[in-house]
Amino acid sequence: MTEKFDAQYDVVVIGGGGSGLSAAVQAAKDGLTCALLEKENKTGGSSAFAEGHAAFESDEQEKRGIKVTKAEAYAAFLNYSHWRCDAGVVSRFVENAATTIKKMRDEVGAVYEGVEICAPDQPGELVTWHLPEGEVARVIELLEADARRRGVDLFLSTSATKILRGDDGKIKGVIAKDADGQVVKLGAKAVVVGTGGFAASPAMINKYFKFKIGERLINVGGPGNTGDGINMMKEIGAVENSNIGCLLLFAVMRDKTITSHVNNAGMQPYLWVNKHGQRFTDEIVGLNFGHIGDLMAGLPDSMYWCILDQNHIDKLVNKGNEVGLGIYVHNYEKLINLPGELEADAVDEKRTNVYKGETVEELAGKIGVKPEVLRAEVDEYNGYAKAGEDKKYRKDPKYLHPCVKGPFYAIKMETGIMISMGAMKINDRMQAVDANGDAIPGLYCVGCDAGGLFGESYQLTIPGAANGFALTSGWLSADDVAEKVKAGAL
Amino acid sequence: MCRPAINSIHDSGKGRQKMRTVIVYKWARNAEDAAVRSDGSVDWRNAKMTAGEDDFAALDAAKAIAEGSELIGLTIGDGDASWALARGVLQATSVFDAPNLTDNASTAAIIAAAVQQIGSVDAVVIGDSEEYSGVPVALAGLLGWPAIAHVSSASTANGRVQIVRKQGKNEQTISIAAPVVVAVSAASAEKAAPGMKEQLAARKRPITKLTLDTIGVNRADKVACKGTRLPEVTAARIFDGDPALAAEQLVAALRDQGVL
Repeated sequence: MTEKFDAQYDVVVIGGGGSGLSAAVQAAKDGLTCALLEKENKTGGSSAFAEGHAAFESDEQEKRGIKVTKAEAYAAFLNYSHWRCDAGVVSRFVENAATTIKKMRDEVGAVYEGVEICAPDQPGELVTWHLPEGEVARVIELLEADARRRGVDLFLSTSATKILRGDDGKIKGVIAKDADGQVVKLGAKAVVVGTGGFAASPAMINKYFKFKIGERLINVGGPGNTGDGINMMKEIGAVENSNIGCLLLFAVMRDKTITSHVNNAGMQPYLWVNKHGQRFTDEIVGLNFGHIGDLMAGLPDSMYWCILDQNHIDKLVNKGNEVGLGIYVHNYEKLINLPGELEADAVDEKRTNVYKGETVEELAGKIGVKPEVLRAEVDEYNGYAKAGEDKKYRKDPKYLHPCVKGPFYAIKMETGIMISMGAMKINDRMQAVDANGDAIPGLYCVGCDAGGLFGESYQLTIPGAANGFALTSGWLSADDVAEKVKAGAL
Repeated sequence: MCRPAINSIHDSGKGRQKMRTVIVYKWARNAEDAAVRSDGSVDWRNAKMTAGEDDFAALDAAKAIAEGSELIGLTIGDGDASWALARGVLQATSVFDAPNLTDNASTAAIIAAAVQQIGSVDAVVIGDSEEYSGVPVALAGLLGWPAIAHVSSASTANGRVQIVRKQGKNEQTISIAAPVVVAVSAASAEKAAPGMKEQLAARKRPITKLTLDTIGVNRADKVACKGTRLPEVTAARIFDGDPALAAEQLVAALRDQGVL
């Protein structure tokens, strides 16, 4: 008996972020019928927060005189991950990322304003960050419009709940709950899953990440990234990538936006101490927000205090910061809002992440640290600053500014998460695979639901890698579906 | 064009008269779907007819006028005709080969001919589009009916169409005999779009397909676009840095330009 579906499509895409929209648009271009299901009431997912995306040997790089070869990028991915990334997946991405730039510009309508690096003073960073006008949020708008124009059925506020796999092993459809709460059953020859990973699921973070800090992490990405696609794929036999716990973590203040100047001050590589008042590293780790995220996740309570004196503040206001935060606070920007914001936060008794003390000892008491411990750390640090040599953590002397002039401030930085990136094992065709390593016919996994691009950590030295992979893996998956549908294999 | 007979039928059970109503929807492209290139050319690519920002409000008004009577959806062009069928309209007519035309009167001619093809219509309700503002009035002119524009809501009372519209700060209530063209302006976006189940079911509801030939309309556009160019732009100046200094510079610049 033929199974009854509410509608039949060649391909159903689950998730309307960058990867899902890229897949849907390409599927329509390839002549496939396509439905896209997005559980939020708008498209974008975490891609809506991305500033740019990586590509290699693109014409946008070429016309700016920037040379980043595919071979260079490929080697950078492998070396950074200690060869724990999936070489096949990396190779396919590196080969095709420049085509994504052409597609987004020439076919979808994006305009690229620049190709840049992300962090200053970061050895080996490649100039790969292609920045579209209006950031990736604008690319998302264009992709959504393009998808609709090309006849893709976009269903918002619609959650996929189950992927259907037949006795023959092939994908046969999706069950979803629509905006009215009605259960809908869609037939499909292929399903592309791009639900954005599990950054918004404390339980999955505790399960897959090395440190069990799921409840404490501050999620600044999409609230819908609860690992739905990962769980649905696992239900039908897909297996996890070995680096499923790869997270993009960074330092952020609780209850602050990423444009806050106090938040940015807390990232500066001056004097940092842990929960117990002890200095714990060379603070230049803060120049790479990915590195500091990975480090602080393992600190007591996954937090640190950034200790500033009045000289630090004057420097940040009048000369500018040492490091920004993407496009939200630029590198070398003067933090003119810092004094007002700091004072307001320090006197607000409800806030527990900014404190002020006329002396180091008074400040220590307010942040719950033994005064003699913080005093000793500050004195030792000031000694290194005076000598121009950090004998303890070897920090570059240009960031060694003594902490001597009151009032003193402590800014509490906690671990934030943007996205998770290592979830499911895929092959270089973006197909999810089973425990035997065989592709599950018709099941594709893209964007942050797919593992293989990274090892245990996000790689900020190739800025825009995650979003570049999202946009590229999407259209690559659709092309493979089209090839197999036309060959009668699905 | 002859003025058609009024086809109001008295409904003795409810003490009101039935209004056979047509809701016109998805009859133009959305300008936001066009890509404006750096040379000033406008690329519509394969932009389809789409629901206008006033179509939702127009549908609400049409339902209120037609309450208990026949409500027929009418769309032109290549948009998805099931839009109205997913929103409570039970039957629709589509002039599916109608092109998007620059000339508002030509668009109105297609809609008018389709309304006459449907026949025995008492009220035509359409979005009062700012972009294509000539269409509702041209439609009324072609049908030979009165048109009420800028309408915020509508209903029927005593066999007449009751219309409410804003006139500045005042609200005006108009009672008019059918037939009439009602052009509705939306005050807000659609509150709740139908779910996927309803949208998919709508595609199975009846759509009468018409062509320009069957309704006797010439497809030629009476307006030819000879070219487009980008608007003149004035470079913005940003005053940043020290707030007091930036404010001084801003005031000085405004004085220099004669604004202050």
